[in-house]
Amino acid sequence: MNLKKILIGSQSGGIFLALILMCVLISSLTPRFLTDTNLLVILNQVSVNAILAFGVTFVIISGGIDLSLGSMLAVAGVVAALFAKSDGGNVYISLLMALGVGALMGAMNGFTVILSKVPPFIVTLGTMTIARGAALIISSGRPVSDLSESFNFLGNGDLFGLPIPILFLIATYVVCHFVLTQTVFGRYVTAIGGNETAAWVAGIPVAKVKWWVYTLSGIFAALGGILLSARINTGQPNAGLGFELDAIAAVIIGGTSTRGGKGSMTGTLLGVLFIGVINNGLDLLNVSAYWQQVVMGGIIILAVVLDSVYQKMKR
Amino acid sequence: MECRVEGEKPVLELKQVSIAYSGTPILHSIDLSLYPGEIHALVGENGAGKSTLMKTMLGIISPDKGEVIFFGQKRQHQSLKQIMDSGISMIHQELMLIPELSVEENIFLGRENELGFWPLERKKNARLKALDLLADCEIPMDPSTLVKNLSIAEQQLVEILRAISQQAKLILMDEPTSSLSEKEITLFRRLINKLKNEGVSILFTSHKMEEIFGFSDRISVLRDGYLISSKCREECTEQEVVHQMVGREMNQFFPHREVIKGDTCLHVKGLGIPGLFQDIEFDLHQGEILGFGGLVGAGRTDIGKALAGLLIPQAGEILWKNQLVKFKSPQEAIKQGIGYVSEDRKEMGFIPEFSVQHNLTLSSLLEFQRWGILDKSKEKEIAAGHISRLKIKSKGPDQQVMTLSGGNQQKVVFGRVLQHLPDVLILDEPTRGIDVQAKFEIYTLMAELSKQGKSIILISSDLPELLHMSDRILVISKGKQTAILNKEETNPAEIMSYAMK
Repeated sequence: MNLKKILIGSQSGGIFLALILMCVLISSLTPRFLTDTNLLVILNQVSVNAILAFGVTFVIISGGIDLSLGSMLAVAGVVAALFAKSDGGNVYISLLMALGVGALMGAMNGFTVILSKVPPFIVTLGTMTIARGAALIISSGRPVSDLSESFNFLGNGDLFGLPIPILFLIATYVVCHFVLTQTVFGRYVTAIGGNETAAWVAGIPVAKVKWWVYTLSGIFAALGGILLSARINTGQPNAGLGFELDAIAAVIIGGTSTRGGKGSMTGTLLGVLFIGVINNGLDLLNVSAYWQQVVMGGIIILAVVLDSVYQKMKR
Repeated sequence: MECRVEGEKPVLELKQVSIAYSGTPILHSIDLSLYPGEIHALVGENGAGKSTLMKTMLGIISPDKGEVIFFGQKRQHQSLKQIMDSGISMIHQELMLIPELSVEENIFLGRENELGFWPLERKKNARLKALDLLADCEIPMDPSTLVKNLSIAEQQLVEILRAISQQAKLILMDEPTSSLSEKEITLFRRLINKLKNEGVSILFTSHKMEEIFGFSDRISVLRDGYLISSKCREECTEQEVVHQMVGREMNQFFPHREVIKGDTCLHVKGLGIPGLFQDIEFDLHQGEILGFGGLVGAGRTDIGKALAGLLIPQAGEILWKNQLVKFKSPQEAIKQGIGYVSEDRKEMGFIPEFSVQHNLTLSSLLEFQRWGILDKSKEKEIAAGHISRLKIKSKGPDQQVMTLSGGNQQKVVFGRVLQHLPDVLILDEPTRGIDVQAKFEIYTLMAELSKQGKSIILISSDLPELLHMSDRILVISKGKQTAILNKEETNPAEIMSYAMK
């Protein structure tokens, strides 16, 4: 593909440019950045955030929001761990249960949003607290450890020379990108975000599509929870605190409109990588963890401001 | 006041004004003068440059070449506040009122400091001044009503009152009557005549010939950014103006239509929704065009919505092809072959950020998919078919619909509805706010569809349109059906008398 088309023609041009500039900047400051190992580390680190972000991209494009991602991740992570104990656990049942619980929580979000007509911001804010409580109840507030080897493999193993979380990242990107751009469902989601009333009048089953969007978000959060539990080899009821904000930030940085109706998975992927690269760079440069947060927030705001200026200039 | 002659001092003068947007010329050296107490009609097809011209007069667009002279002074780039204070005001097509505020608060919005210092004092003065203004203009309206509770037409009047209260010397109105019913147009007419007698100049745009000729002292025609003519009304004929607008002779506004009346396909009995309409009864035949006449707000739109699944009827029944139907959503109505074009194109017609192509196929995506995956080449083919058949003017199938002109947007909505192959079409104000050329094309399309045996329900406030296009006209007044009239045996006066019953 030619570079000019990516930069000018697509919505993600701005963030693509920013990502490249950031990589150039960091690699000029430290030689440890641009190495095979480090790049794999970055991808591995961002994989959970990426999966959450892909799921919530559907929600945001449909004009909604999901703040319960981090809590749903924790519930699913704990459930997965409970069914994957080294004594008598089964990794398949564990996956099924965790994804099922994620789907259930997402479906509840969807139902409530559709039936109550309460803004999704409020509904999922409530779910955020409920699910966090549920994770603590299920685990009795203690980390669930002693997990089976095969479960651990999901988070730390390699396949075809790549860490499994990275494979999940690639697979979910491909699937989500395909669904958003090539299917009826993807078109419906975008239409609803663009003008919900007109979409309804045009005969789109708005309620059903929205319900699916929130359910998918729950399933993706659960997948993130499984990978995280597998990586740290424990089901942590406090896992994923604030993850929803990282995921949403990545989606917004990637050019998806907060008002819905416009967005892309490629943009989200670039947004995730952008955040990952900055985190990694600040680590390599030995910036203190406290300052990292300040710098991170500043860069996110700057990136979005620059992108909106860039989009205006294109017009 | 008769049409002014040259020599008198104009209120506003455009001298050789040219404007281009990113290289595309919009206006070509326009020379135009507006005189005190003159009602000036600006006509032209959509895309002719009317809105740009008005915005230039207002001062929110600065001309690339030439100058705008207002009361002898060259207009510089100004803030909106300065423009408002300078005695010129514009009423936009999209109303700019704040729904949650009352009539009086909206009238004095941004000028509260003129009403006094203390909040209570301001409140009292706003009420008094608003009451004065309403009485003066003979408009029966309570100034404490929230704007959101007013009809579109009443909101329009509030906008005009706001302009009057600003002591504007020149008021620019972009299609002020497009949402007014006959009765309200009379009120509107009285209002502008009052303004005129006070020496206020008014420039308005309209697509309706009766208004252009009924209200104005002078008519200026704009075509493709050129000022074709600016003449006193007495010197123009309708034929001539239309000719100048479209640049060619148009023998008639309405196409010839062969009337073929088939079997009854829709039978409506005792239909009602409390508070909106009641006891609606009619038959619709294949190939028939049934008009819905009445004043704006009489309930015509709600009946249309109830037939198309947007509202759920509480009483009565709908027999569709001899089967009792109860639509719970537009989706169900579409599946049964009912097509609906809303009067509210922006809210209900299309997805603004979607391309022409994606809007055209939105209601029929299930036709070209397999396991949920879209067949994009087939989609493209279908969209291309509609674009050429409906003569949709765009840069291509990928152009965003919101960047098209009103007429082309409406054609896209028609295309989307036709693509799901309806047997009956419910068209709510299908030609509102679109240019003459597109209007004619839509009429032709309606004639063609009825010839194919499709039935049409035409809801329209445009009486000539209603009379020419419909076979029968069902008149609704205050939610009740007052008459069903045959086209051959009725006239505008009769329709209006039933509409106001």
